[in-house]
Amino acid sequence: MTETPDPGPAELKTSAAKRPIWSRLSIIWIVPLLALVVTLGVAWKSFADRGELIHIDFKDATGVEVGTPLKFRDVQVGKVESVGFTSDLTQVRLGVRVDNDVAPYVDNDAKFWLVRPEVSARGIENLGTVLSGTYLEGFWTNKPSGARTQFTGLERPPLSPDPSKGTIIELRAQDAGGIVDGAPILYHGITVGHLQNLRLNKDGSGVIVDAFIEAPHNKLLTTQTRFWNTSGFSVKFDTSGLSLDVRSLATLVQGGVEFDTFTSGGDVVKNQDTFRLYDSQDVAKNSVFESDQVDPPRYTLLFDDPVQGLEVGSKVQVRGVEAGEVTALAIKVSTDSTGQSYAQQQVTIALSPDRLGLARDSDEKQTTQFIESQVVNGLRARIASVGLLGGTKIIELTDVPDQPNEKMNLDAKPFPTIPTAPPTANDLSQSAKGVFNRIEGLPIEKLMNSAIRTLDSISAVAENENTRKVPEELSGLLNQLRSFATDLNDKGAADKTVAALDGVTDAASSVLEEIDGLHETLASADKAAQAIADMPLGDIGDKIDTILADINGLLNKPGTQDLPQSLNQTLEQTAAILEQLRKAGAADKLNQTLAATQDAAASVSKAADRLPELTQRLDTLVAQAQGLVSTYGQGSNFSNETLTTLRELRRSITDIGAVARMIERNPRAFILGR
Amino acid sequence: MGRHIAEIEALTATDAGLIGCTRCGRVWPHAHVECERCGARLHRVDRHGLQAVWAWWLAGLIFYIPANVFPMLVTDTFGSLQKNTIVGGALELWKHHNYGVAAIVFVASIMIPIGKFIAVAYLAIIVGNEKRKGGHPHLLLLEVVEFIGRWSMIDVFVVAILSALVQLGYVASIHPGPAAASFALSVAFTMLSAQSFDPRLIWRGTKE
Amino acid sequence: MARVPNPDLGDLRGLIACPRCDLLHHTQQLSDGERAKCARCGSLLIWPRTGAFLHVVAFSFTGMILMIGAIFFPFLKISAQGLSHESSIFGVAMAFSDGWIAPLALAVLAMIVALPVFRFAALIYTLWPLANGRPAYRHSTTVFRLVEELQPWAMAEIFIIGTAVALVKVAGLASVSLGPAFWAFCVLIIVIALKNSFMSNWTIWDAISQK
Repeated sequence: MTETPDPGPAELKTSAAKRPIWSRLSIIWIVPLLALVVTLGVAWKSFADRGELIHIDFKDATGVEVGTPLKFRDVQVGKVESVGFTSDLTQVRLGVRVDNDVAPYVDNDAKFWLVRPEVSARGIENLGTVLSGTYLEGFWTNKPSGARTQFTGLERPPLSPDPSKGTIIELRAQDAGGIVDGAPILYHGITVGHLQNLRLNKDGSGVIVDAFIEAPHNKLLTTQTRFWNTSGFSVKFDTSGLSLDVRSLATLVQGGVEFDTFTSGGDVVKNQDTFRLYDSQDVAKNSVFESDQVDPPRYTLLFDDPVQGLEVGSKVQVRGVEAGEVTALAIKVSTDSTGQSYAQQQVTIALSPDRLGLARDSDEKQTTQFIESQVVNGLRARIASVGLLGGTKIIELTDVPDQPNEKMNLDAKPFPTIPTAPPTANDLSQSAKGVFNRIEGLPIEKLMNSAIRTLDSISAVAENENTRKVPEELSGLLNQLRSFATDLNDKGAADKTVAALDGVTDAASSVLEEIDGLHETLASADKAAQAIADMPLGDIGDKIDTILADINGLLNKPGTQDLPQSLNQTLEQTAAILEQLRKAGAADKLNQTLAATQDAAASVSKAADRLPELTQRLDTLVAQAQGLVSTYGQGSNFSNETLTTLRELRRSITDIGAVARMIERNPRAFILGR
Repeated sequence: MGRHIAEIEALTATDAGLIGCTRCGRVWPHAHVECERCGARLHRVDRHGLQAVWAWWLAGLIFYIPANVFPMLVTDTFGSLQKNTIVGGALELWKHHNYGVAAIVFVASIMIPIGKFIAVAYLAIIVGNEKRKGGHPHLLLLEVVEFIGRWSMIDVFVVAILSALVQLGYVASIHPGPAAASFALSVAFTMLSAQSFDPRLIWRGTKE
Repeated sequence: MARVPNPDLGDLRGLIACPRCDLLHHTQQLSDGERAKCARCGSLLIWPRTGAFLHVVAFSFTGMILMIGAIFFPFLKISAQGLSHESSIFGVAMAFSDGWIAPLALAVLAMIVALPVFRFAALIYTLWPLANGRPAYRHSTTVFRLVEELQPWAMAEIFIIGTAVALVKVAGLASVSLGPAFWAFCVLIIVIALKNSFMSNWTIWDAISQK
């Protein structure tokens, strides 16, 4: 055994006391620490203030780059942080940092668009951006609701970003007609808004423009409000001369739209409501299409005959009721079964369902169904003329008898077709014949004959011995009558009467000469003749009959039997005068005069403003005739009666005038009866 | 120099047959080519090193010419470009009666660079001359050249800052002209030239 | 300082040759705050300070932190008539990025950012072990020599003066607001100046070489 030392307690391993770490650290470390704290502080602050990141997609982000500011009410509230693409690369995606103080308001109602310089007829807009470059503008309301971070930018700046400042509606028209973006909206000549965002509709058949009407003027709008285009200027050349209408210089340059509410009872207009934009104020007032009928059902008519005088805007009547208008005219070339091509006139019409008797909100399908059923029953489209002189062509949808069975072609493009019928026959000879037939049918000849017959019988009575025993007072009357007759003879009364009638005729024919397009008038004249027949001409004849009856009555009185010879002679003379009148062709002349008057009336009805003049002219003629007759002796029976007759005639002329006016106001009523 | 020390006739490293490191000051036996402490190359005090000075000097001078001929700044104000050379800029300021600024620009951008060339050339010529008097003014001159040489880079930085900052689109924008690069190179070469100058030559006549 | 008529060439370690005038001196142990200058040309040769290495390391850390802030924070912003534009330090260097002068952008970036950062990092690398009384890391001599050689090319302080000049020029044209980066840079050059005041080359070289 080796000696082992006693295992005594081991010595502890000790080390020098470690100085605490803080005492080993030099004070100098405060410097980097301070720098770190400050730097991190600044970094934290800028991180905390950096704002919310949102993404906005744009189709076109010309001029946008990192750092482009986002502005709200022209104050910068953020900036573009990244410019990238959407995953499908079709759009530019902008990452935008929005300042914290506005970030909560950037929500569902937020809109974003790019502001760029725009050069237009009105000048340069957003001039500032020429200098500053494109910037992003946003608008959102002051009510936070449903925060979002993904937005789609508007392609164009909105009309007015703030919806509380007015009403935005949509106007639709066939063509822009000189309107440009930014054109003013006028109400009684005052600018109350402007147009923007002029664009084609989806199928390119018309244009759409947004209209912003500023508050409080937006209260003027109702669903009955009608808008019309006041762009450019209009030159009107009519009987009152040449007139030039320019609403304002601004509208001349950039176009414009005016509106007014012609009928009451409309509802409140909401944002994005759609209105029809009429071509002119007249059209707006008179159009059969309501403001909200922006896209009425349309149909195609194919005519084999040349269509002259028909134009876009021409009226369409359905069974006499104005129910639409022509919207397009074109030539359609088709090929028939033998391979020969032929041209047809293609007329596109638009129809207003409510004028057809359908519900106002009927859609195209319902309207088409209705028309289709009517076509089966013989409804055809044809070209007709209206107006007494104008030769205004319209499209008439009416039941035409004896037509081959046809159906609507519902599959035709672009619109269903309605079968057509040839236009109504309207040739000159036919019309003229009709007119003269009617005038010949007037009871003037009969009237004259009966007058002569009566006078014959008066003669017979006068030759009777008994008439010589006429009372004293009657003798005086007869003396007067004799002197009247003498006067008549002396002054060539017959000739004068004839001359007077000639005057009337000349006047009428001169009126006729003034009027062009007699040919076109005749169709109307035919109808007018019908009216003439209804006029109180018969009454005149009756009146004369009454006079003669009165004379007869006088002669048949017991005392009359004793009429002196002188009276007999007088009566004979009277009869001779009348005979002379007849021989001078008075009846014919009258016929002609009536025809002339009729034409004159037609021309009167066409040119309403010429009406007073014409009526006056006729009046003058009558007055002349009256004056002529009155020269033959005041108070004489004949004279009085003749004057009465002439007064009647004058009243008749006034009636003609009234009728003519009525015709002018409403030809339909004239054609169909009052 | 706080206290003026008259020409002290003392032992230099070269006189002692040693070679001193210009970087760390350590001295080594004459034969050493590299400082063992800091790894820098050891240079003998002779006029041979002046070749590098002249080479950099010439390069700096060459680049100083385009730096003055070409525009330093291109200012685009409302679409009209204005190109300013260094001299042109100073003259422009003078014409607009900004005599103070014009003087500063003239001194800082024209006189100082030219002065540097002259100073370096003067020192490079004079150091070999045994008859030269006083090392202190020459060392001071060299130190000034070295110091100002770096600070000449200010012009380049000013161009950079202005170009980066004044980017207000159509209203005003400033772009650097080609002279900025020439000027920067010229400054860099002048700095290298001054650095290549061995100040020990000032204190010691060369005797080859 | 005594003259050295017969230097003991055997102990070269105790000698220092003035880099400016080649005058040979004996080195001596200096106490804190003392400064040793060349006897002939007056160049500062040795200026040891207590905890100098630690201070340099601390200032280098500070400088790096500030530089990071200066790079990422907004530097300057000008606004005139509603238009504004701001730039970072990086943006300033990139002013030269167009066309054939693009290398200048790199040079500027190096001078104002890269080189100062490198020098800070290198100083930390070199001095951190020394400050803790440990031997220097490998390649410390090369790294510190680079620190010394690149010193003239690190121009952070010149850059900030350039900024001041540019501000004076722009001031009349537009209003300029200074961003955090500007202030970081200002502090940075103070830190650099402080750091330099603690860096006695001889002392550092001495410490590095004492393995």
